[in-house]
Amino acid sequence: MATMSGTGLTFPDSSVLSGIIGTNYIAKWATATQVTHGSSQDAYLNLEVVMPAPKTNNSKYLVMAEVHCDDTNSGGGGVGLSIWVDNTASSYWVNQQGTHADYYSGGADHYWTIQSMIMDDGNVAQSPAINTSQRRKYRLYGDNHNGNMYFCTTNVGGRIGWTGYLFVCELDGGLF
Amino acid sequence: MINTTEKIFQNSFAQTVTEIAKDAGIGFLYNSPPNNMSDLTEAYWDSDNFKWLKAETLDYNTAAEAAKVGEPDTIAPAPCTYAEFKTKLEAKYTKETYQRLRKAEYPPIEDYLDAVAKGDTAQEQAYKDACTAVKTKYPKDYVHPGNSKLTKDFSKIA
Repeated sequence: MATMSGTGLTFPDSSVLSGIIGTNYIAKWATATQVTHGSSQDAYLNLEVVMPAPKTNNSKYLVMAEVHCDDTNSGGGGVGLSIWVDNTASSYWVNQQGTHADYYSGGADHYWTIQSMIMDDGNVAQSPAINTSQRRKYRLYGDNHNGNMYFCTTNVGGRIGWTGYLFVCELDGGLF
Repeated sequence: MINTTEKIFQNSFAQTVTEIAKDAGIGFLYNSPPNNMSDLTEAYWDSDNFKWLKAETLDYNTAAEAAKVGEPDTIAPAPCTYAEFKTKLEAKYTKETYQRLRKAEYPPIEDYLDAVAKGDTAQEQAYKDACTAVKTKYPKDYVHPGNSKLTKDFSKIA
């Protein structure tokens, strides 16, 4: 976990992000398309952010996502988000929350707003090393228990705005 | 509980797809589900927004495998025809409509348990009568009245 110190943002490996953050690459993507999937495995949520090659091999990526969910049958169910990255060589899971990150066992009409946030430094989970010769493509996937989930749903009453988003920000390694 | 026509139709659609896929032992993936029967066109049925997936995709769990879902070699033949699907969906939608509208208006089950606990046969009968009235109000062939006619307090609010 990163902590704020007197001179900047300190990471677990003792590196410190300092100075003015003015030239980092920032991208975001949103969708209003509802997605559902027939199994508890990973459903691509049509959320993708392609980051250009990083400034340095020491850069880190802040990845944040939020998705609205609704069960399709008023039964029990669970959800979780997965962050995926492709570095042009292959693709990897940066993080998987699993199918029960938020879960109800009873039958009723349930709704979820689920978030995920991860600092990808090229070492977390299966994430490949960050390399200035490779762009990184991030995607968001949804897992569900019982195969009965709408992701990025528009079914939430009174909702205004995105039904799901994926946000990625490169923290310039040159500032660490 | 939202009981709008769109919500009931989308849930009926999801359940119909799920049951057919389960019976066929395959998977599915769809985007932008139809809001009503007129949205469920043959063009949607054949579009990239609606795909039946081969059985092996259900076991995919690596990032590389997940990325392949939806590509041509992961697509399974449709397990039924468009017409067969519509017939099943219509039946499901009709059933789902009366069941959801009844559920929203049945008296609380606590009233029945309270009557039993107290041995109050009059209260027990009142509960049964109230249930019967709801069943009569929404027969099994009941047609959804339209969103503007949903008068139960929170029927239109998630």
